[in-house]
Amino acid sequence: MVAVNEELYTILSLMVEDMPEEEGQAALSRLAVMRSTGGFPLDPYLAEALEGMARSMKQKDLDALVFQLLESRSWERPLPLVGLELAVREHLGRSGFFYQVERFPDTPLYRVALGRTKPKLRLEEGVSQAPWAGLLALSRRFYGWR
Amino acid sequence: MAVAEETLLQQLIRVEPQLKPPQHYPNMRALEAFLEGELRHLLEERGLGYSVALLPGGRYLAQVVDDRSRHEATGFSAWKALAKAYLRWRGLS
Repeated sequence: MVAVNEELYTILSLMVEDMPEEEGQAALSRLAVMRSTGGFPLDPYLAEALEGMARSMKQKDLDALVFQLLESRSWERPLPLVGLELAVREHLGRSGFFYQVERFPDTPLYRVALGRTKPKLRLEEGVSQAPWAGLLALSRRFYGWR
Repeated sequence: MAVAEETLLQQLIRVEPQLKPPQHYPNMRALEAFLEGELRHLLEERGLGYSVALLPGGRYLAQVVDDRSRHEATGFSAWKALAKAYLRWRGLS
């Protein structure tokens, strides 16, 4: 978990360098506070997702998503997965996607589907134990990265 | 709009008191995360199937499913659609 936090801190610090100075300084001091108070209370999946997103998203979209994740959520069970899923879904919704998350009763599995109507109708489906990670994995197919 | 939200939330809390938010959330999104998370947790604990979808038009569609029935509802946010579908499944709406 420490390794994840340090890695995350490095990624975030690099992203901050590209921000306007005033915003960047404010973000840096928030990051410093978060790190000094015991690291990022994030799901370990996030580091994995960050790597995937970093390859498939534009930098500014990635910045916006990560800061939204860090700033707007508290990560107490059973909420963390849904909180993270909401952030990912909001991002996908803003990017022109529609989606479905379906729970299969009596299994730990969810069916996830992600679609777009433009430039032409396309739908991708999968099964995942974590809907937010499943949706992100599907979105990578639209960006041509696996 | 605010009145309609209050009504649905109050109805939901009356039926399922454990869904009452434990604190005042500073913004609507935090409340939405709480309600969707708790509602889905409740459905999963009771062995019910459900789905939440964002439709291409920007509306949300939710379904609550058991062996014999399928109840669905739409809403302007995921938790509202899910709450309405759940209340329909309970026969209360």
